[in-house]
Parts: sequence; C-alpha cells; structure tokens
Amino acid sequence: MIAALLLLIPFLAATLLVVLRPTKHARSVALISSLATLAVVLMAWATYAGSPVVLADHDWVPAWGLRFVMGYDGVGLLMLILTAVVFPFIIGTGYGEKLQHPSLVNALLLYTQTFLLGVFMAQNALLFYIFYELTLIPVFFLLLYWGGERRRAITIRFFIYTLLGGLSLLFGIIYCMSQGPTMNSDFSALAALNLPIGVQHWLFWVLFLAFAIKLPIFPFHSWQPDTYTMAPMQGTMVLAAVMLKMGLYGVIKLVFPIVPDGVAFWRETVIALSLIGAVYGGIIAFRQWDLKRLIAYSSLSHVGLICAGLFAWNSYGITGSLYQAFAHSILVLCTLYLCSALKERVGSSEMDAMGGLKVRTPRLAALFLLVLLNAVALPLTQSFIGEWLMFLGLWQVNGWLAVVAVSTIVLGAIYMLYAYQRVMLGPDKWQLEMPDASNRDHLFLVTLIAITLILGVYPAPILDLVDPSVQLLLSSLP
Amino acid sequence: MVMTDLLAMLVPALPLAGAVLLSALRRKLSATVAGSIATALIAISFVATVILFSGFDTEAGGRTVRILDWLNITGMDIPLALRIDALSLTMMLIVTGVGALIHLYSIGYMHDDERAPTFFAQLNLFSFAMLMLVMGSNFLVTFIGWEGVGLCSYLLIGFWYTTPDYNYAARKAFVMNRIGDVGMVLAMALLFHFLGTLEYAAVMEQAHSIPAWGLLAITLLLFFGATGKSAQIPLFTWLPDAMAGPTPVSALIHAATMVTAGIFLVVRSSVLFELVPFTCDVILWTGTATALLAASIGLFQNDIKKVLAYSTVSQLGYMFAALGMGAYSAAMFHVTTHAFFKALLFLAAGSVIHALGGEQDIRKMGGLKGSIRITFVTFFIGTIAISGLPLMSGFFSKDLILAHAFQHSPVAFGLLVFGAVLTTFYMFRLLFLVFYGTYRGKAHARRKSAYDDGAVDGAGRVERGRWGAEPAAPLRRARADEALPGDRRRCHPVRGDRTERIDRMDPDGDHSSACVHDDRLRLWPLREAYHLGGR
Repeated sequence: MIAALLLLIPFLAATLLVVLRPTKHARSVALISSLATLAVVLMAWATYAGSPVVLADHDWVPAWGLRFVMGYDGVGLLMLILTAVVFPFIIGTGYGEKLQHPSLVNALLLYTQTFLLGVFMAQNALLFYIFYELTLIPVFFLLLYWGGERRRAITIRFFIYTLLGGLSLLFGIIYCMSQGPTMNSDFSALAALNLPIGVQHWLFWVLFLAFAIKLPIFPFHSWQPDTYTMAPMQGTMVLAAVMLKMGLYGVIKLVFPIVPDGVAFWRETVIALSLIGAVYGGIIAFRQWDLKRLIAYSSLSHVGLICAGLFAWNSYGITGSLYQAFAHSILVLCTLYLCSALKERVGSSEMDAMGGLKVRTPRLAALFLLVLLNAVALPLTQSFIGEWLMFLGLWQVNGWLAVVAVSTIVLGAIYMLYAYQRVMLGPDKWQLEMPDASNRDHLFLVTLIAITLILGVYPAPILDLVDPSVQLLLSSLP
Repeated sequence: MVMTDLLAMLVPALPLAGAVLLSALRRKLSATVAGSIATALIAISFVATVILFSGFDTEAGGRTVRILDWLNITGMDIPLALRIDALSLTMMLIVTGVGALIHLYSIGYMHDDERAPTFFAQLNLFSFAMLMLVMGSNFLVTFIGWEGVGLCSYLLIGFWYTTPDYNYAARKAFVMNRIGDVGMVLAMALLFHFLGTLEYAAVMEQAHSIPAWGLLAITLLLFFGATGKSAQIPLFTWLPDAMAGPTPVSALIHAATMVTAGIFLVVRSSVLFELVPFTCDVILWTGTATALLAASIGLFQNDIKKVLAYSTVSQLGYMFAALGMGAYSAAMFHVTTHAFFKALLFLAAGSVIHALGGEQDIRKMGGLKGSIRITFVTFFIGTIAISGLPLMSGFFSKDLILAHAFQHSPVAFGLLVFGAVLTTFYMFRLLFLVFYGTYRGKAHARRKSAYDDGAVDGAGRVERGRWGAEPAAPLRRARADEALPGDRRRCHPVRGDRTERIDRMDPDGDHSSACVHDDRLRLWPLREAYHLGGR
C-alpha cells in the first residue's frame, strides 16, 4: 500500500502535468503532490516499529533474477524521509526561479522523486539498478534544456560519468548473481554469497565505482562543480540534496554486505581519498567568486567527510555519516535557496556583485547567518552531531585520519565566513534597491533552520531510527 | 533538591530566552528597553547563582542536573546536563555578576546605536554560551559553550559590520579559535575512545586507566584548545584585533570571561594534567613566555584598548603559569580578580574613548585627569590593582602565583617578577599618557566644552554601571548636542596608518603639523622610561 502510494502519487501527478500542461498551476500541483508524499512517508515513520518492513514481494522476470521486492529498514526509511522532506522545498524554490515551461520542469522533478523513492524502497539489486538509472533521465533533460552556459558539454560529461559508473555496477550485480546458486538478485541473497577474498578485492571497485562517481569522492569528482554551477537551481538541489545520497545508500546496501573483505582491504584507501576530497574541496571553495560554485565545492568537502565516516565502518562512523547525510541535505537546500534568493535580487550569483547587502536586507542576512551555524557545524545544530560521531568513528580506524578529518572544521569556518562577509558585510557597495526577505523566504528558511536546530538539540528521532539498523548491519558482517 | 535543579537550569535559560526574545523583537524595542530586559534577565541569573552558591555544601560535593538525552546510541550516552560544584559556581558568579554590570553599562554605551537590541541579544546569547561552558557536566556540553562563545565573539567583534577591517578581525578571531577547537575535538575523541564517557566525574575517576601516550596526547591537545580560547602563544594574535568590537564587549568577552575559558578547561580536567608532568611544564613555560612577550608588546602600543588587550594576554599567561605549577586555586583566584579589575579598566577606557568622540590613540590624549575625574579615579584604581599594589585584589592573586613560582622554579619566578615590573610600567605609561600632561588631541575649542560635558557623564556611567544605578538624564543632553558623533565607527583601532586616520577624523585639519606633532610624541615611551628610571 505504502509502496504503491509513494510510487503512484508523484508519478501520476507528473504525468498529469505533462498531459495537461497547466502553466499557471503547475507548481501548486507539484507542491500538493510532494506534500501528499511527505504525509505518506511520515505515516510510515509513525508506524515503523524498528524491524525491517516488506511492502511488496512479486516475481517479475525470474530468468534474470529480477523481482519486484519493496521494503525498508531504518536506513531506507531515513532516505525516504529525506527525499519526501526535501522535495516540497525544491518545488517551492520554483516560485522564485522564472523557468520556461514550469509544468515540464515540475513534471521532471516529480518523475525524479518517483524513481528516487523507488531506489530507496527496492530490495532487489536489479530493481535498485533500474530505478537508479531511471533517475538519470529526468535530470538529464532538466540539465540539458534548463541549464546555464555550456550546458550541452557539461551535461554530456555528467551523463558519461554516471553512465559508466552505472554500467560497472550492472556488471558487478550480474557477476554476483552468476556466482549464486540461483539467479536471484535480492539484497538478502547477494549478502549471503560469501565470495572468495581475491574476487572481493576487485569486485569492490566494480560495485563502488558508480557510487564513488555519484557522491562524488576524489578523484571521480571532476563532473561535479561544473554541473552544479550550470544546472538550474532546482536541478542542483536535486543533485546535491538527494541524488548523491543514493551513493551512500548504495554503499550500505550493496557494497558492505556483498564484499565485506574488499571493504576491509580498501577502506583506508577510500577514507584517504575522501579526506583528500574534503580538504581539497574546502581549500578550493575559499577561492571561488561565484556563490553557487562555492556551494558546489563546499558540498564536495562535506561529502568527502560523509564518505570517510561511512567507510570508518563502525557504529559511530556509519550512524554519524547517515545523520550527516540528512544534515547535508537540509544545509544544501538552505544555501542553494539563499543563493537563489540573492540571485533574484542582485541578478547574479557572483559575490563580487554583492557586498554590504546586510544594509539593505538585514532579515536575509540574519537567515544567512543562521544557515552558517549549521554549515560550520556549531554544536546544537544537526551537522555537529553527525560530524562528532564521524570523528569518533574515524578515531577507531586511525588517529591520523581523524586528525585530517577534524581539521576540516577550520576550512569550513574559513570559506563560509569569508563568503558571508563578501555577500552581506561591509559598506553598501552597489546601492541597489532590493526587497528584504519575503514571506516565502521566511517560510522556507525558518522551517529548514528549525529542523536543523531541533535535530541538533534533540537528535533522538533520527538516531533511534538509524541505530538499530546499523547495529544489525554490523552484526551481519564477518 | 528539585528546587536546586530548577535554579541551575534557570541560570543559563534566562539569557537564552533573552537572546531569542530580543532578536525576535529587535525592530520593535528601543535601545533602553532592550538593554533593560537583557540586564534584568542576567541579573536574575546572578541572583539565582547567589542562591545556589549560598546553599552549596562543600562537604556534599557537586551535583549533576540532567536536562535531556542528547547523544544516546549504542555504546554512547552523552546527556545535556549541568554540573553544580565549587568550580562552576565560582565561574557562574563571575559570568553573571560581571556580566550583569557590563550589560548595565552597555545601556548607556549603546544608547544611540540603532542596532542596540541586536547587540543586547548577542550579549545575552554570549552569557548563555559562557554559562553552558562553565556549567557543562561533560566535555561535549562544555564544547557547546566553547563554540558558542566563539560565535558570539565573532558576532560582537564584527558588530559594526559596514567596516571591512572589523569584519576581518571578527573572522580572524573565529578562525583562530577554531584552530584551537581542533585540539579540543581531538582530545574529546581520544578521551571517548579510551573511556567511553565524557562526563567529568567519570573521566577523572578513570583517568589513571588511560595509557601514558594517550594522556600525553589528550592533555597537550586540551591545552592547545585552551591556547586558542585564552590567547596564548601561538594563537594569541586574534585578541588585540578583537578590540574592534564595542568596548563593553572587550570588557566582558575579551577580558573577564571568554578568554578565561582555557584556564577553566585546564582546571576542570586538572586530574588529567596532574598525571602528565611534561604537559604541566609545557603549560608553565608557554604561560611565562606569553606573559613576558605580551607585556613587552604592550609597552609599545599606542591604542588604549590594545594596551589593555596585550595586558590581558599577559595576565592570562600568569594564570597559565600558575596552572603549570599545579597552583589551580591561585590561577582561579587570579581569574576572578582579573575579571573585575580588567573589566573596570576596559569600562573606564570605554568612557575615555566615548568622551573623546571615538579617539583611541593615546598619543592624542593627555591631561584628561581634570576633565573626566571619575573616570580617572576608576582607571587609577584599576591600574594599581593590576600592578599588584598591596591591599588591591591584584596584589593578593598575583603574589600567590609568584609565591608558587618561587617554590617551583627560580627561573620562572624571576621571569614572572620581571613581567610584573613590565605590567606596572605599561599600565602607568598608559595612565600618564591619558590622564597627565597636556591634551594633545586635535579637537577644536568649539567641541571641547561639549566633550567635557559628555566625558564627565561617561565617567559617571562607569560608576553607576559599577554600582548598579540607572544611567542618568544628562547623558541624553550631551548626546542631543552633536558633540558625541558615532565617530568610534570611523576611527578604527585595527589597522590603517595614522595620517589616514587624521584625514578621516578632521578633513580640514592641518596635516603637516599633526604629523610633526606625532613624531615628537614617538619619544614618549622613552621619556617616560627615563623619568621613571630617574626617580
């Protein structure tokens, strides 16, 4: 029932938009659909008792091992919640972005949501793969037709990167199935494979490559800054707030259970690469002059840390990583929304065109500042909880890695405060007439900031959701 | 007992409520109303602290008040909890007591600033963070306050945000604090790694079970964190720049409370430090070196607030030296006395600056003894207190540190005594340059009478701030005159050369003569030294 609702609500709403093209009410229809989805997910959360839930279990193409198995555990539910929470905001941002053909934009967004929900519910590797690749299609069109400068070249690069990763993943899944006693690609069946250690060492990269690109971690990141900068604001939001979380989810569902020995062998390498990305992203972010590009690099930095925490591969690391994944989604929504609000006023997201805006827009500056608290992971914000847990997790792996990880808190402070200063502080340089934060800005940002602070002071709802599943995952590993 | 718990929670809750309330209503409230609300809330916190303090039974030991589960997952239970014991009560008294007085002083000081309600909201938020820092029952709750005070310090240093130099100073303070915080986070991670808990009581009980290298790393990292917050070598350069903030902020944050957080942290985890003599030596010598270095830099500063800032760094060095010698109560005693006399000095300096319409360069002061008498008296009291003249609080606390040093290490003793001499020297240099001699400023006669009027009143405010009465009506009269322009924004204390400042202060002024004037004045420290040496 829940599975059907979650897949059908956004899918039907999107199809409705495509067929009827209601230019005026497109955003409202999409918003209502996304709120309905949110209600369903919250209901699922309210009834979740702590043990994995199976929503559907049907054969589809038995010869290929493709079965329609849907369900979720704590981790999956967290991702569903995240997707459902994030989309109303993404669609709402559209009220400020004057894009052409709003009905098509919103339809593409809703299709993306449908497939994302599918990814997070699928309990069968091939089904997972199908949804995983399907998400790419609406995003591809969103980038190609509504993107900024050089959109064609950048979109194609993005497409090639992700597609290559995807093919590698497909190969990995098929290989795993061929090793099993029957053609079955259910997660549970694949987890029971016990592949030889030598195979696991190379299979690890075959499976992980797709997710490494999706996240992205260093050195698979080169598509990311251009794509984030060029994409329409809502597209960037989808990419940064939800799509990259598919990478984390995939690692937990496919990489950890299938190739545990491979993970054990490669994990310090992956952590090191992730941390290089975290440091590198933080340093490059400091040098950016475009706010959106800065957000792209800061996202790279944050994701590096999240991936490092995940590969700490212990209770604190994984829990912290998942918590931080949620925090990062909220944070990226806030910063991109701010960027969109500033662009609406100034006409550009270049920081040179801003400066001293606090004189004109004190309320917007105050909201920016509150977002900043989460961005630099001050205690009592959501990000702090995640980062602290990840640091603990990394300590248990290797003290030096933890030292590098912790030092990123300085980088975050440097580039975020510098950005804030360049946008908001200083004398009123341009003397532009501009409105202060509107009601919509307040509604959006105050809600998101409230989520940040509440979950920073009282993280139990999310921790209690994730913790049992993480314990279960760890106990099943050799 | 439930009553005690409620009171303990009330102490940080009130300033937090004030911060939320004032920032929500910041456009609707006048400066005076906002200031009064903020002051009243922190004053109630002070009363609550006094009640807690008087009801505190030293024999029974500390109490932990659990507010909320915070981080509670498999293998980890870190609650939001407060600890009431002798140490936290001492710090709470300082934070709420000195804090309330400085809030009161600020009502007058920030009276004509249109963003005064925001200022008071941030001041209240700072008080909340500082209280969390000292009241936390585990390292992580302390860390909430630790980062919180860093944030408030950032906000308040950069309060006048249209001046890029101030923003730069604010950012520098935050980033340098953050560098120290890396040490603190790593130390906490190590502690948790070894003990599985961060509660102070439990950590101190099980400290001996940590391996030697772990203890060494933890204590060094904690100390590194402390150097960031307490402006010790190598992370001390942010504090002088932090003087860009409004003067009450310098008094509260950068003299009385926040900068003592590092001392507090070391005292709080003294059991750990006791186990590692090497770290204690590091602390002793870092403290001594900072005390001497900052004091000698202080000799050559010409900005009234920067002299006081370096003096603060130097006095913090004394406290750390005491910690390194294991003289924890001497250090805490000096924290307490320093909080009072340095806040007094800053508030008096604020009064001088206010009286001169924003002038902070002591070479352009002089002879103010007659015109701002009350300020002079308060500044004089502060000066003799920090110099350690007998019967002043500074005498007892500094002497205690020196006495410990005498027992501990003759070299440290000699250096610290020399530092004390330097302290006396730069403080009296400041006193003489500001209050004695003749007035060397560029203010013209047309402004002069009004300055005096405002000056006396400003000084009056120090006193009233100190003793707790309302700021008086004559203040507003003085303001109504254009005599006290918001000039303090324009003559920034951070950077920029002298001529530029003169340009901005007085576009019509005679530059050449001003520069000649200044060149002559460069010799002042030497002349002063000559005179002092001669006597």
